[in-house]
Amino acid sequence: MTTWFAVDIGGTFTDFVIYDEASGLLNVAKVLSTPDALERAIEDLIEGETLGVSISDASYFIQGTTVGLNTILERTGPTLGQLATRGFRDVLELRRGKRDEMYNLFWHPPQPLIPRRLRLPVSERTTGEGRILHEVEPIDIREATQIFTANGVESVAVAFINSYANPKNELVARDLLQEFGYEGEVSLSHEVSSEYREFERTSTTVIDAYVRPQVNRFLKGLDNKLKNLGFSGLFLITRCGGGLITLDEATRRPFETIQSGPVAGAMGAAEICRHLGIKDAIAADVGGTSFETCLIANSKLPMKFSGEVADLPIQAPWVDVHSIGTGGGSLAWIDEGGLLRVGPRSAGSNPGPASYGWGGLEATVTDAAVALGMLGHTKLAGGITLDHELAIRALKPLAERLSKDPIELAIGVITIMSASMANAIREATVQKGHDPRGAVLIAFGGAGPLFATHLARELGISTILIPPHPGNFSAWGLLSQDIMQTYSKSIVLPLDDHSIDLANDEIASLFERLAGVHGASLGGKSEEREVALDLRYRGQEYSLTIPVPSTDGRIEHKAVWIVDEFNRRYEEVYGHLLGTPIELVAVRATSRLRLAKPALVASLTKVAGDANKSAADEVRTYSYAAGRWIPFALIERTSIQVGDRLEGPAIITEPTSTTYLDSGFSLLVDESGNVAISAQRKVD
Amino acid sequence: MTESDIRTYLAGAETAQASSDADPITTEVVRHALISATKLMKVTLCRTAFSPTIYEHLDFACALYDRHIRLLAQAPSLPIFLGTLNFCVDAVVRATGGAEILVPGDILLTTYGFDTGSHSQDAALVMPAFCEDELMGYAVIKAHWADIAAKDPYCTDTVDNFQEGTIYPGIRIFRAGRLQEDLYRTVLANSRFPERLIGDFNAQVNGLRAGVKAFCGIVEKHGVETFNSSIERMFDHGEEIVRRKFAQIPDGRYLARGIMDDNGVSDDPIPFDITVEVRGSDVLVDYAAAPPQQPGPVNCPLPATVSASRVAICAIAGVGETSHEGHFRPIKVRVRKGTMFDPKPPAPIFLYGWPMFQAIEVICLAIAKAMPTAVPGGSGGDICGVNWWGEEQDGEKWYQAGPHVVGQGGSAQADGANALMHIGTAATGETPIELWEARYPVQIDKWELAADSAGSGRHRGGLGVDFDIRMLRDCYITATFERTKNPGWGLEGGKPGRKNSLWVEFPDGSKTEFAKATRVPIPAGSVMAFRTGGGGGWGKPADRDPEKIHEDIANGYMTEERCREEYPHVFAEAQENTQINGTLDD
Repeated sequence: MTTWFAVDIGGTFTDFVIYDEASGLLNVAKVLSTPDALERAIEDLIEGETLGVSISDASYFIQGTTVGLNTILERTGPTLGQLATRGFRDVLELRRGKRDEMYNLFWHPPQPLIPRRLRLPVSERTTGEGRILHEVEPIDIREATQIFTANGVESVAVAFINSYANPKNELVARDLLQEFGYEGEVSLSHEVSSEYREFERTSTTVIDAYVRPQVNRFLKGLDNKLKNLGFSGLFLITRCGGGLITLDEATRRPFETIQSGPVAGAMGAAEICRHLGIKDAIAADVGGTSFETCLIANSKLPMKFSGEVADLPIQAPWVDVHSIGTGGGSLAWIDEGGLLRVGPRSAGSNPGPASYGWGGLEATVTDAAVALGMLGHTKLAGGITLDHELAIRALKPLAERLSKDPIELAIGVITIMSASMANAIREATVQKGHDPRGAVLIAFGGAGPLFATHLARELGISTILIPPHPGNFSAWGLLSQDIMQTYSKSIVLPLDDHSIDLANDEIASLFERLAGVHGASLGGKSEEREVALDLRYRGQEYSLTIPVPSTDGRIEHKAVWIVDEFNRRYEEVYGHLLGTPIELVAVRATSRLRLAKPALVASLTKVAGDANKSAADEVRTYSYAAGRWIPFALIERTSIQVGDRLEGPAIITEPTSTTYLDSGFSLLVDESGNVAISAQRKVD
Repeated sequence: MTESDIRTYLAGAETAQASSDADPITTEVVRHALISATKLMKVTLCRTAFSPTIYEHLDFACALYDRHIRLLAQAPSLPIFLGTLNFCVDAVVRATGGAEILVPGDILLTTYGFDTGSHSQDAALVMPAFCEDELMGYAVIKAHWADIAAKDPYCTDTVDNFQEGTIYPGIRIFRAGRLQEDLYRTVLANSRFPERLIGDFNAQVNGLRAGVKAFCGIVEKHGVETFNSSIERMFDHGEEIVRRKFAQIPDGRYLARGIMDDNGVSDDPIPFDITVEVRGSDVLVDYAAAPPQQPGPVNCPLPATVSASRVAICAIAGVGETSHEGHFRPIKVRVRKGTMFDPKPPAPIFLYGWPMFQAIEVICLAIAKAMPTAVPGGSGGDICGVNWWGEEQDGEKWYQAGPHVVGQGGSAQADGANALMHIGTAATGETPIELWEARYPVQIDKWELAADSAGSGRHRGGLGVDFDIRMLRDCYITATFERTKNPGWGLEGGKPGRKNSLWVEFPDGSKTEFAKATRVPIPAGSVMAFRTGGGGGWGKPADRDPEKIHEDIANGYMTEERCREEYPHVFAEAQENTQINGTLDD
């Protein structure tokens, strides 16, 4: 018998999901976040009476955190220093010289996280083949140490040119730093990433150094608190590349924890796909300030090997979630040419949408939905009461400027919001060679179910799936993951049987490092090894990552098999083939420890507490399908049973979200009893 | 030359159709969908292209046009190309017999520089967008091909257009979806790097097809009528944004002078004047006083001259994300036939981009005379390009080229940005050092901000870079450095930055400076030293905040020695303080 605690800390809410394997029951809770001391919300809830489950019974505590992300966004990290190869101290500041805004004469890149005076040059050099051209000059490190100490540097990034090919000089530099008396944290670029591209690797290392003190303080603090509360299980943290890592690994590689919410939601969606045998799905997570989407093909999440946070690149496995800055709290505005726009500025949680009555005066997407009756009722999670009058009042000034009435404006706001989300979905699917029309739309996040039928109509999607507790779905997604870590290494060679041998050697040493990572705490669980190769046509820069079957982490296939596999995949993605030679670019080794949770998906429909059978009500709401106001059935989600069928128009309410089921759509609770709502568009 | 040689170019006007009744909300939806469609073209092209020129340097432009060849949307890519694409579409459709005989699946190719506003290497492929058998517009991608059989892979010394690459004067390379094999083989035969060309060509075709498909999806979704009225409203909206900005600029004629270093075949500087006339919200960019067309390749064909004007005006107007035909409507461009900015064929035009880079900055300088807060000071003003090629040990040919960063001018608001691409190649990026070293026989000794390279001022310019590349094997270079004689200018009392320069230190220790030079043999062991220019300052140095000066010294952006010369006021005060307090260290 195992009990799992999963907690996703967001900007506004901290979401809990507790899963008891024995009873198959799910407990769900949502509390306001406590930004000044994030762990307090967790502590309060665990200590409180409401959960009905004791932390001391839990075997796993899984945590998604935004501590690292916030440190960067708010620039609240420590004073950093950097050691750089002499001649290259400005890699961090020079970036790639691009202007992010094409027509902006005044554009400046974001301020580097380390000022130039603390980016110090060291005489040393390694070649692209990994040959040490110059050993580290100790005097440079001694001088740097003095400067770091005099400036109160708490964390140092060491990022040397070509260290991906040979780590020796970085290791020597670290030892010398310590020898000369530096006592703070050190992040080494080759440990953070073994791939080439010095700016991206340096940026990742600097981010690692920057978030390290805060993330580690938070994680260790929380770990202590949990122990004091009686928790004796395993503390796991989700990483931006998907999968869980141990507390130990997270404190060694804190940059990997930087972004977890969007990943966890996508993970949850993939878990549902696996369970229900859904081939292609689109995860659509509509939150308060952003919309995140990705395509889940063959139940697998799209991965890429670089991400970005606040315009700073991160060279690490990254779930390829496409994000745009519009959500329920996004503000509507009229630009200087007289067109209506939505976002990216948001009302956040303070003052929040006008209809919350917390003092917000500007119209948000939520206010538009309130004006149109799409939210059905007036109570939301966290004790929020929606005020229709305030929503209309906020919409009015914008409406007047466009010579429209507030309702017309509200219709427009929802239309623009839906269209921009649909564009984002197209960019996440069509641009990758997938047709969204055949996919199932899995909508979640507080506002996902509100927009589900809109998105389906925009994209020509016929099946929607809305899991229960859509507002807490990301936290549930935390539960669906395995313990997993991936290490990689650049190795650029023509693809042939010989290079596969060399690749196997590299892979073996990556698995050796990974074995150390999982450590003793996981004894008894069997490790699964996965291998992938980055390949491209010789001459190209961008590569495709091709999973390759292996026997305990060793590739047995010959080059000719891998060539065929690459060609097949290339044609699938790009629609054509090139007859030119293929090149190996990098090897990727993944070690996975499966955390079996056979009844997890079933738990979605088994919520602790009584089903609330209330009589169906009715509410007048604007129907986009009909283009006018019509009566919508108002139904509580807990009153719908497996096998029930319901025709739109209807509004289905539950504590964490509201589903807007437009006319022309019907709803069916899955016969298997496993999953909640699927909505099907009727043939017109 | 007579007045009859003068011609004025104006952007596509509105059609007779009333436009303002289109719904502003649908308009916004259509606008975004069009931008999204061009991004799809860009991604498709980049992901499968073979040349770093395309996937790293984004030396291309993707756009969609309506049936009247008005720009609907463009993906962020090479700004100097973006304003030329309507000329490409117009010329290639006319050359192949007109829009009436186009059929779905046709793809047309032109490399004729006087039609494309580029050298022949920049090949424009155009695909008509038939939505349910109705011609609704065009997808176009102009991209830099690795080689198209000019006299050298890259040239600075051509004397006519025929030396500059094969001219495909508007041909049907795909007929109703079928590749014309004979023509295709001819194209490949005319390239020094056919393998790369195959990859890039296919990528370009894929990008076009993806664009047409997405375009038709948008038309289908909204219906032809709504689509058409929405784009009219979108154009009106863009026009309004530009007009608002120019309405704030006082009426008048503002003249500014630029100076090109030379024309590539002789050494004399080429001064040129551009006048910007603002009347209400109309802008006329007048090149009629330009010098005669040059015997070397720094001539700028009309489409390129128009494009340079569009880049400058859109940048000054602060057109945010991406432009369309509406933004261009207030802009008139006046040129005189037979001059550097409207040369007659077969004038050499290989370096057409270099007068464009200059013109963009000179237009800003003219506006500074009307409103000095509206623009920054001069930048390094060039892309400091070097093309090089040679053979690897195993005999494999390699070729590398790319633009480099320069310091930007200070402005009324802030110091200039350090080391960015020229606004004319804004979305382009530098190639990573480690990628250079992994791929080419080079070792990079230095890539660093150059202290003291910025012009002083209340807001100083941005720094240029020092970039030293050691060649490990013999190779050839073609250098295309401009603004090696004239620095980026300051405004309102700000000082100029450092000039661009390039030299090669040969293995025997001798040094030679280069600016524009073609096919120079460089032996292994030589070091090529790039010194890219700094931006000009804005406002008088004496008004600079002392705290910023001390910060610059602490960070090594400026040396103390140089600051003592440029900003004596700060050090004079410090001296007084020393005397009073006796605490400051020397």
